[in-house]
Amino acid sequence: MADKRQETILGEQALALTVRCLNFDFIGTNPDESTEDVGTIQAPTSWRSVLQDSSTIELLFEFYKNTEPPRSNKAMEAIILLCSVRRSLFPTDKDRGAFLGRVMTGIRSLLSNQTGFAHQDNYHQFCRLLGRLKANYQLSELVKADGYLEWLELASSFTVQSIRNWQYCTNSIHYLLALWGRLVAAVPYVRPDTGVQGHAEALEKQVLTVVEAYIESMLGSVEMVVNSDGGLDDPLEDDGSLKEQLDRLPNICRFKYGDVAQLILNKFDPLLNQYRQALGHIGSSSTESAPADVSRQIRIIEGQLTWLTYIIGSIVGGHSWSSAHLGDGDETIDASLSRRALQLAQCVDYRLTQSNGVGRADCKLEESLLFYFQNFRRVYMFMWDQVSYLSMLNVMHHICVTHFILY
Amino acid sequence: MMAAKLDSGPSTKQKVYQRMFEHLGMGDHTAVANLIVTKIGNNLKFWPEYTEIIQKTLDLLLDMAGGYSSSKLLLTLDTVNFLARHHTEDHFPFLAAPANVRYRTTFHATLARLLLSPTGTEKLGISFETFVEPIMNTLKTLGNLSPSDLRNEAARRPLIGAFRDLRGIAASLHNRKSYAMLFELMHPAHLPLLAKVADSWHDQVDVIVSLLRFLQEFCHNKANRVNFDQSSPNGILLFRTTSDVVCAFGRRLLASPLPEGDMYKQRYKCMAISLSVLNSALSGNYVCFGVFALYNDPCLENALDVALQMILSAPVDDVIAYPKLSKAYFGFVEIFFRHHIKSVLALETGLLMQLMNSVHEGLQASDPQLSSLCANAIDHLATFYYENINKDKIEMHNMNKVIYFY
Repeated sequence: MADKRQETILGEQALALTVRCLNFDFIGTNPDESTEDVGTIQAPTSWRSVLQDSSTIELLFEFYKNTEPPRSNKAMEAIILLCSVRRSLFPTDKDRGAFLGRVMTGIRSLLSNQTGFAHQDNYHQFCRLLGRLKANYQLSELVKADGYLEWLELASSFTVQSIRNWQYCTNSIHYLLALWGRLVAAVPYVRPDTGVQGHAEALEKQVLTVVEAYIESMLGSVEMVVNSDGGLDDPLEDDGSLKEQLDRLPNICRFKYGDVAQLILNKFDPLLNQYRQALGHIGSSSTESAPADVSRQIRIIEGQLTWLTYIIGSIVGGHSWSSAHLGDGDETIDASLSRRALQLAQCVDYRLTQSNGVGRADCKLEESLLFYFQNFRRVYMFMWDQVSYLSMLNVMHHICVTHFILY
Repeated sequence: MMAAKLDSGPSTKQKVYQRMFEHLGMGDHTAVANLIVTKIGNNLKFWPEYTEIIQKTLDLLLDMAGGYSSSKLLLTLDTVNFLARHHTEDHFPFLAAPANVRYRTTFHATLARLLLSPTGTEKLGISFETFVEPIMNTLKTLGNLSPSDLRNEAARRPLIGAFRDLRGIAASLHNRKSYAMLFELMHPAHLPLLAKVADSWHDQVDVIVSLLRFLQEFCHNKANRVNFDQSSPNGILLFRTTSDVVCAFGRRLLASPLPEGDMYKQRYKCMAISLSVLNSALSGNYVCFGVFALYNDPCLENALDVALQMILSAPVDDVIAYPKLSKAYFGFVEIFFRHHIKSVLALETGLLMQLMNSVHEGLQASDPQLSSLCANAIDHLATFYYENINKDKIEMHNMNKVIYFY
């Protein structure tokens, strides 16, 4: 190559072309090109030899490792698209399995060496790749791939690490949560004897690790935000990311629901007690007018309760009335979590009315309570219409039967 | 055996449901609903200036009032009773905050829905008339103002508030009985005020939008609610009011110079809504439009004339550029061709060609709703032509003239 600069430009252009080609709307099903989430890529069969060739994906991984943004993240984008190529492009399941194996190896190597993750753009694309992998491959295929358990552990520690560094990657966390949500959702469809031994237990363990890290980090974020005095953006104020994350939670948290609920309760109960005590100190005055350390403490507790209320709201909102889930007794766990949220609501409301509107909680806490109410209403209050209708029918049947017997 | 089947205990779902409330330990369904609704009331009372909280709180109330059993339950709660009797700015300052103005509509729609549900008036212990009395009083005060006082700045907020509230209430009228209740209160006492406001506040977008949006709801015949006795003139009277408002506003709009700033906000937005109002009235099936010509009442002719002038005043490119405008625009064109083909063919050749040009443009729009409106307009025209091809009618002569020339 003539010189370094030309090489850079050529690499950049070639990657841009690759991405544009793979992104082409082959069968006219995706007129809206603005969305970041790629569906299945309907590449034509004549492309098979190139797409399936192991050197293609290896070249892209190599290129990613040896370049800087914007080239490296473009290469990652191309890998994501390659991973989304339609199933039927591969002549046999074995070919597809081999392809998946190469991708998993590539990902494992990046994960163990943390290659290029220091760059925000690389990092974001890599999170997308992880989220995407499960979308196009079934869990039953993943568990059969070489090094699945190692991959699972690496992915888990990568997720935990990302969540702990939430301030650098708020927009990427939901991709990672999406991966875990999808893995968990697929568990019932995988025969226990498929793939590597002990994969189900390994997944349970890693999911719990991820959930615990998530709760810990988000609660921890509150104090950091308060201490930063405006230096850090509050993730609770980023409506978009917050909603994306909450959308993923029900699936993940209801997988080992008892354990997760216990985690939440262990945080919630002491916090609510501390909150009541702190409020007892300041009586009916506002948080702002309290001594600096007290008002700071209240703000932190309120922020943490806000997170827990959002989390509880989203999990309870994931209750399912489908017959497959009715027997599992999860409603009693919903009840224990809901009890806390409702008690918190009473506590906040008591302070509000007793102080005639002076003693307001943080407005974000009020919003999280409304979010909880909406979810509770949607899954439980809504049922009341049906339940009361049914019991009304029962009463009527009783009357009919009595009538029938008497006359 | 039959008895055994009928006497089956609670379903699995009911058991799950009961178990949840037992474990919750916060009382039964009613107690929990009461807790939530009390919180709703306190939010509305104590967070007036926080739009986010007000909005989410009202959404929650609306959703809770949605179901049949849950609305019945809500009616028994003290908070709901208080809300229904005190839905004014004096008791709920959030209604007065300008940022919350759109939530007035949600709030009143929800309360009206609860009040008008099967046992609503009984359980709340107030009649529909009592419920709307504060709004009617506002309208009465406004109606008594002299033209210059009506246009006074002091009247702006009450006007917007009253129209927003009424729009919410009108949106919750789902049958002819409840619709007639509101109509009786509005006619004859308050309907004339509407055209007066359209005339004197024509250049103030916020007032005009709230007026027109209310009227659009009020003359929309959803669920066939605008359905009066055969001997009643109310349908015609409603159309007259609609025509008066659209004409008063439309004439002012056409006479005013083009705005310097945002064309959509300053001009097309209100134009689009006034066309939608007319579209609702023209397609509502509650007026026999023949009577107007028969009794020399110009209100139909005037309304069509003003609407047509508004339409022809907007360049086609602008129409296509603003989706809401194009929907109202081609909606009107379609109705005009459907029901008033004779007026179409009475147009001067140049105007008719301008109209057909717009239809031609609209036909190529990427939005299927628009292109089908235009296709229908052409269908109405072609059908008329086909059915009358050998008849000696003035409309046919006009049409042949156009065909001959172009």
